[in-house]
Amino acid sequence: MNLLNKLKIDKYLILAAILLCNVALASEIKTTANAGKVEFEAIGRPSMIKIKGIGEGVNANLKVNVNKISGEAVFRLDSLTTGIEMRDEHMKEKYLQVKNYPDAKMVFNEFQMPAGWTIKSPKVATSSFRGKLILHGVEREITGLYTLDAQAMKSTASFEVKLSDFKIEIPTYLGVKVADIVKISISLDKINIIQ
Amino acid sequence: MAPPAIAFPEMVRHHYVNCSACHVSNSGGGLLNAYGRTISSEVLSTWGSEKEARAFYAIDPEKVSEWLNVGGDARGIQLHQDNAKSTSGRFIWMEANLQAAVTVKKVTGYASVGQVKQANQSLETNFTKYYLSYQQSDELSFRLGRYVPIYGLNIPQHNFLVRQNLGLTPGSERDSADVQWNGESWGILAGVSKSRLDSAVRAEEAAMNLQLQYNLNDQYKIGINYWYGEADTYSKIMMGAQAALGWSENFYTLVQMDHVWKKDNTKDIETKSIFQLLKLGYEFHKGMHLQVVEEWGKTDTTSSSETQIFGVGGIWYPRPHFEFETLWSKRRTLAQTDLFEDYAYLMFHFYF
Repeated sequence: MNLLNKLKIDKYLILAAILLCNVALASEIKTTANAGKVEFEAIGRPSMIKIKGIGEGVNANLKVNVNKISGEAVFRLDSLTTGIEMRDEHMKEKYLQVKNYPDAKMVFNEFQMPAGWTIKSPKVATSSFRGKLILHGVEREITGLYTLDAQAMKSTASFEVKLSDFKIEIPTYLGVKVADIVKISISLDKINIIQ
Repeated sequence: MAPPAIAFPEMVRHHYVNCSACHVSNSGGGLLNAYGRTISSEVLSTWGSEKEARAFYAIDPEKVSEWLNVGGDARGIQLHQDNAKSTSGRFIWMEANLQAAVTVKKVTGYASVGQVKQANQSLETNFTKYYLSYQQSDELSFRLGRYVPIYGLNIPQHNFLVRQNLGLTPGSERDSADVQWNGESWGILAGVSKSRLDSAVRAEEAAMNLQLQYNLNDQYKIGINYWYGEADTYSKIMMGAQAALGWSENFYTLVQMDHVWKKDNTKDIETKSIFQLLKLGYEFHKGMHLQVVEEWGKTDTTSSSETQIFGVGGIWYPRPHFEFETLWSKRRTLAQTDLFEDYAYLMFHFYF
C-alpha cells in the first residue's frame, strides 16, 4: 500500500515537473505594433494588368510551446493601397467591404514547427505552413511558405487565396476582370521573442 | 510631318505590361478603351475626374464600352530652329481625326478618319487606318487591315531617329496582318505587310516583322525586333532591341537601338545604318514629367557623318484629354558641321 501511494505521489511529481518544464519553455512571439506589411498581386485580364497592393501594420501575437505555435496575426485591410485612388475605393468598399469586415486574421492552432526548431535557434529557411485565414467573414484553411530569421527579427510568408472561396465578388471594371487567385505575401519585422 | 501614333510604354512603371490595358489596339497607340480613359484621369493627369475623362466628355463607358469605343485627336506643334544659317519658327497641325471601334463578341472593327495634309495644312476626310481584329483568347489575337506594323518602341515622338529613319512613322500605314501573343511575361508578334507608293514609305515594300518581348518583374519590358523588306529597288533588314524600364513609380527609361542594312539593287550597294535613343523621364508631380533625351545615329557607318542630339524638356498632362510636351535640344550632324543647332518644340494634343 505504501509502495502504491509512493508510486502515485511520484507520478504526480513527474507530471508536475513536466508541466513546469512546459511553462518554462512557453514563449511569446510578438510584432511591434503596426510593423510589418502585407502585399498582394492580382492579375487583371484580358490585358494582364498587374495590380499590386500594399498595406502596413500586421500585429502578430503568437505563443510558443516547445515547438508548437498558436495564436493569431491580424491585419487591418483599410491600410491597403494600390496606387490608384478609385481602385482602392472599389477594392475596399465594393469587394472587401472593410466596413463590415475590417480585419484579415490568420489563426494558428498548435502549428508544428520543423523538427529541431527551438525558440533559441529559431531560423527557418523555407518551410510550409498551414493556418486558418479569416477574411470577408469567411474562415478557410490555407497553406503557404514561410521563412523565419530571428537574428534579423524578420519573417516572411506567402500564399494564395481564391477570392471566390472567401465569398469576395470577382472585381470587374470596364472590361478588366481580376483573376480569382490572388498572391499574398506578408513580411514581419521587428519581431520580439519574449521568453 | 505625319500624325503620330499615341502610346506610352513608360506606363510599365505602373505595371501596365501590355498596351491593350488602355488601348483598343493590342499593340497600343490610338483609340483608348474605357479602362484607358479612366487611367488617363486616375494615373496620367494632374487633375480630373472619371466623368471628365469620358469620350467627348459625355459617353458613359459603363453603358457602351463592351461594344463601342469612340474618340479622336487634334495635335499641333510649334517648332523653333536656330543655327548659323538661319532662325526659323513655325506652327504645324499634325493630326485631326475621329476614331471608332465596334466589338461584337471576339471581333473588333476599327477605323480612323481624318488626316492633315502636310503640304498645305488642309484637312482631308480619308480613312488613314483601319483593321479587323479577332481575339481568340486573352493572349492570342489576329489583326488584318491598314496600319503601321509594330517594330521597336511604340512612342508618339516620330521625329526621334529610331522612328523617322525606319520608315515607321504614321503616314506610312501599310496593308498589314499580324498575330500576337501577349501573356503575363512574354509577348510575341509576327506580321507581314506591304507599303504603298502614295504613303510616306514611297515604295511598294513587302515586309515581314517579328517582335519578342519579355516583362521582367512587371516593371521592365525588354524586346528584340527583326524586319525584312523587299521592294523593286532595294532590300532591307532591320534588327534592334528596346526596353521600357520602370525603375520606380516615378522614374523610367526608354532605350532603343537599331541596325539597318539596306541594299540598293539597282547599284548593288549596301548601306549600314545605326540609330539609338535614350530617354530618361521623371514624374516629379502627378502628371508632370521631366525628360532628358539623347539620340545618336549614323545613316552610313562607312562615312564620318553622324547625328548627335541632346535634349531636355517636360511633359504635362494637366487634365484628361490634354497633353503638352516640350523639348529643347542641341543637335548637330558631324561631317556637315561641328556646330550644334538649337531645335525646340512645344507640342499640344487634345484627345477627346
